[in-house]
Amino acid sequence: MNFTQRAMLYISRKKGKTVSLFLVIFVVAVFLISCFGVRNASKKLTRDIRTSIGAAFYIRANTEVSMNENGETNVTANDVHISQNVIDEIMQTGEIKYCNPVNYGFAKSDAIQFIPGDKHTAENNMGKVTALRFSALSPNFTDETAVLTEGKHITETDTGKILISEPLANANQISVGDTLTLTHAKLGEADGMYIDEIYVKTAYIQVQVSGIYKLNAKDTSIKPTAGIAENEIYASLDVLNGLHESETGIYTGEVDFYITDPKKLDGITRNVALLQSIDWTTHFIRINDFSYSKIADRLSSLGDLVKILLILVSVVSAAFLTLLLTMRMRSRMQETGILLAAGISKGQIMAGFLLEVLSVAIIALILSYITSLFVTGFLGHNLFGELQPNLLNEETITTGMQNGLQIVNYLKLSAIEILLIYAS
Amino acid sequence: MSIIKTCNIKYSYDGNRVVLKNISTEFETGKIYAILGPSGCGKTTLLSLLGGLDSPSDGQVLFQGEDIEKKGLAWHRKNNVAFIFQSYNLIDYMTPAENVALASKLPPLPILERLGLTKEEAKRNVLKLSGGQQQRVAIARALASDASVILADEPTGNLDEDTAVEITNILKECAHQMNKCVIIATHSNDLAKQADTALRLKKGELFSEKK
Repeated sequence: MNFTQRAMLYISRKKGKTVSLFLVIFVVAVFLISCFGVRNASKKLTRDIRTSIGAAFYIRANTEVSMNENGETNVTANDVHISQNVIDEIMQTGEIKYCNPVNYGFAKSDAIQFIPGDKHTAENNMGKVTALRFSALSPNFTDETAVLTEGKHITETDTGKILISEPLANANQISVGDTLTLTHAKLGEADGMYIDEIYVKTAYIQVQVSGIYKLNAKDTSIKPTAGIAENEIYASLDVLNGLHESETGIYTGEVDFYITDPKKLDGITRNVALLQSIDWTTHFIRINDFSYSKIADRLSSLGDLVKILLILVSVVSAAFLTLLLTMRMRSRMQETGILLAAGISKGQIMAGFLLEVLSVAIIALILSYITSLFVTGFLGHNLFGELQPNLLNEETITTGMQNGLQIVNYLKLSAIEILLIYAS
Repeated sequence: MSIIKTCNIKYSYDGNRVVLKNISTEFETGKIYAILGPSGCGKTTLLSLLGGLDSPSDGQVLFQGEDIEKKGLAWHRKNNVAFIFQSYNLIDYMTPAENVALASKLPPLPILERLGLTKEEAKRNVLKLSGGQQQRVAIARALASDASVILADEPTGNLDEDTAVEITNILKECAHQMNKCVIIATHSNDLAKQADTALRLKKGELFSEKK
């Protein structure tokens, strides 16, 4: 009888001992893999947060509030007047990763019946156009008021691309990849009605639907058709230029700048505020640190906690396994003596014992890996789930592909990492 | 002709407590030997040295004229000697057939049947057998190994009188009919009387016992 047969006999006949060994290895492995998964995720997330977009500042125009003789309040939003040259000047201050200038306008299309708003008519059947360089960086997308559900975001290399909302796409049976012709429009008011102030259409542009977004918040306030959130069209910068609503290199909406390290935000904005090329009487700077530094600190603390937990679990597991295996060996001293007396070499006896443990361990480790996928997924969603929506994914910004920060990917361990855990 | 021989073997625990002093003796095939002596006198130690479970502090154990350490103690245990213990020392998660097959490639059932176990008993767990049956399994295991020397340590110590007689007869059969050299360490004078040669261990020295 060789050592393999002996090992298999022991495993099959000593079921209680085999099951207890299996359970110990299984539980220890699930715990270790889960802890390593969470630790890895917190490390990678912290690193990604620190190295990706960490803060932003927006240059916007002041809004003037005045009161007429009748005591009525008039709110006038000034246009931003920033040229590409000014943007280049700001970009040269360094540390700025992305610039996202925005122009606003209105557009109509024969192929689009907009979601009707207050006092809707065929004349005011129009939507607001937000033309920008990176749609993923638009505050509506960064704060997840809007989420891209199909297609791609608009990036700086795109031309003639638009994003429309799901309700608008459904109402007009428009899909990603469809082409539409837009024409210019301007929302005005006359005799208590909303009108299009551009009576003669001279500018048309063909655009392709690059993506469809979903709105997470429902706006129930009374607004004209052009003011309804579902009717907002995000477009590449060339679209409003093509509709003669903006000039190339001149930005009248707002200009947003994104930086990596939130700690440098104050210094950069101080330097920008010193630029003479911007009229600071009509412009102001608003900052946004996305609370990333706080998130990173929380993740770092979580990582430290998991590290301590991991050390504790490793030590206790190692001690427990050693104790269990020692007790197992001690309880088999007599068997060892019998086998030695029967002329079986020490090497063969050890090989048999080792094979028993390894056979049980391999099954336990395979099952523990499968189980840990669920455990880490559960832990990940509970520990990191709330942080996930707030994070900007650089790949999404630059390629437009909606990958998002998939927490599951952060929790996944590589084959080498798994093997190292098992080996330890 | 002697099959196994001790040449001036000494054994002491920790270099202080001397158990065996200059023991030189020979054992022949076809004979049954009884080593008598009180508990703790070194009977089991002597069997361990003969069986290669341990090495003497000094001196040599020769098997067919060759030092057993030359080919290795494991080799000696596997090929030259077989053990029978007072507490049977069977592996508890195996059947009698599997215990016999531990160190033998011979089919175990004919040997077990020859020693009085049925086919059904041979497939039961060893712990479900009586003491006598368990000792028969231990003897079967020793015989299956085809070793020339059988070393039995108190083989009847745990058995009732009738079963002890049966086991003694089997051991005699092993020596006289199967031409094995059977060396038994025992307290029992009755068993010693059945042996061809009785030896007594006294204060670490081995004396011939007059029958």
